[in-house]
Amino acid sequence: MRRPTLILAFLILTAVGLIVVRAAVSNAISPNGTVLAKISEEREFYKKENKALREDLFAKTSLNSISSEAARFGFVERKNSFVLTKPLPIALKR
Amino acid sequence: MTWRYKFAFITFVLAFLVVAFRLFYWQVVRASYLSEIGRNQYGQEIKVFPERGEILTSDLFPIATNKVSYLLFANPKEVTNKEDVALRVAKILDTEYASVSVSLSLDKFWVPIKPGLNEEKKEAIENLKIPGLGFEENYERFYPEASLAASLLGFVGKDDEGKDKGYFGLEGYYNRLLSGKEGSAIQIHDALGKPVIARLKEEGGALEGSDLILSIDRSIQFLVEKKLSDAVEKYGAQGGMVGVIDPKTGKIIALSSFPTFDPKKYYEYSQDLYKNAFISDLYEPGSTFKPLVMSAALNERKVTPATRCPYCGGPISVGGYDLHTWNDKYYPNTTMTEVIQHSDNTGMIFVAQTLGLEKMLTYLDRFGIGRLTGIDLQGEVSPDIKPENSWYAADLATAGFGQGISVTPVELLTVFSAIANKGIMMKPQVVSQVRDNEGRTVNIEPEIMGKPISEASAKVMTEMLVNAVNKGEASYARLKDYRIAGKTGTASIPIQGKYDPTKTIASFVGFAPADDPKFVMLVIFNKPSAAIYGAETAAPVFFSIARDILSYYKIAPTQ
Repeated sequence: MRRPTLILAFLILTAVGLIVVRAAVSNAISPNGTVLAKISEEREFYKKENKALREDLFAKTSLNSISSEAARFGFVERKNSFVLTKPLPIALKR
Repeated sequence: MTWRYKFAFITFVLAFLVVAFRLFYWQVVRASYLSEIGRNQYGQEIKVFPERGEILTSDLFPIATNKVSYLLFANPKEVTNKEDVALRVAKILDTEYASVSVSLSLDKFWVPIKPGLNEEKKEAIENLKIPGLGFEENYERFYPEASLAASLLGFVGKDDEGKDKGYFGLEGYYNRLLSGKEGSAIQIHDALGKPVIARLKEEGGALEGSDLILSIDRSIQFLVEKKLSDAVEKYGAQGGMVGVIDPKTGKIIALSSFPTFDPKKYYEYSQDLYKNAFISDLYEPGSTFKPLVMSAALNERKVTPATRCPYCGGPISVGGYDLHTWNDKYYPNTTMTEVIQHSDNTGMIFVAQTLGLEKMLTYLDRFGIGRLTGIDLQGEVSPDIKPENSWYAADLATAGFGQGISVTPVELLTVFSAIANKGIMMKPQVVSQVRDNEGRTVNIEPEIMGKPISEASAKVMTEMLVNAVNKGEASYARLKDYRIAGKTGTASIPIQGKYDPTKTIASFVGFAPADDPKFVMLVIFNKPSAAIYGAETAAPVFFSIARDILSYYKIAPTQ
């Protein structure tokens, strides 16, 4: 009768031990809701900031913006183009 | 005692079967239902709206992209001191107090206050720290180049369910590609309702919209729009259009019509401006149609450039109508080259009659007149060409000089592309690449529509058009350093069965450089009032734009 008691006690202790270990491990590795939410928020923040910067960049590099800025700086539209139709000698033989 | 064992055995077996059956029912038959209940206990299904694809010009600059905007909503049951809140919110939103106040007075849990708010306004309202107000994040279309290429782009409105939908132009034609696919996700929360992780998993395969990369050159489009709007004002025209195409590939380089609309505030403009007149408007092309008829006659060897017109010394009577030249000047024994040079209507009557009705209809069909070009824009129309037995003698004669027959500007541009491209007609297309949400690009290859005329005929026609530019009525405006082929057009407008002599459609179509064309361009002005002729309005604009494009492409003078 001694052996079954020992076996039973061992099984109960093992079960309790496993439950405790499981609880501890679960607690340790379970995702921390607040931290994850914060990370997620941060990611969203940078995503939005990138979008806003992109928007700003496109608005400033648009041809509409460039042409109005160019006019403000005094650039005017070229009316005539000058093209060299024949190659010019770089040195004349004397 | 045996029956008792049997009874117990049967009872256990039956009980086991009942349990097995119930297990099967819940685990297999109702598995998805249980799974959904389970999901709802720890999470909430949320809809994932895809971001609409961008539309980029050939330099990969987005002319239609997205920006984040916010919808301000309220739960009126949570808002206290509603009058004060309405007053403060209306001030920040720059909107009427009454509209905010009415929304807050509703007996609902959720009411929208104002969509389309930017980050600054959102922060300003958040700083008020008013309980019961919240924001919903959305994407809305953003146009960095404002109304550039608006008639080409179309706009994004709402469908019956309030979802984004593209209308007209590219937004309409490629709506499904640009829209992407709506998906759903599970937002998990803990026992206190705090989010544990942003999303458990994507369900239903949400797909972001694909991007469209156009063949449109942003610089040329900008240049064309500026010159066109200036010219419409200068010539007092009711409107104008310019189309520029690469004849070798059929890729549209620029396409513009004026007046236009702002795609962001499309609802503030007349609906007539939404459609792209370049593909949706039919008009009688007038003299710009003559090269098509002449090409057909050359290709059929009915005439040569040196063929002389035997009856061009005065007006010609056909079917009871006296048909004149545009300026009532007549050139007896004129050659076909001179017919194009002088834009001689009587000469073209001779060509049309020499070609014959059957061949005329064959070539109209070969050049795609009366059929859609298939350009990838929503709203293209095509004219109805009368059946052969409905044509009168006068119809054939007037068709020779482009009256009594209608085309769309894109059809005429395509016809000239064929002449410029050794007789090979390419399908016009605006989108050159589609890029999916993973960055993979699919090229849209150029497509040949047909070969209406031979290379030799195209070359002869090109020489006749170069002669027309150099010696015709628009020669004063030409670029002397380049060989350019082109033709003016001044078409009368039919009003209630008659032509109004004071209202015209002035146009010029041509290509440059003539021997190795880099572009074909069509310029049209609708009812110009300062001058009614194409040579005085459309031609100078054509050459002005052509000069800048040649310079932009760094093409050296050809003569």
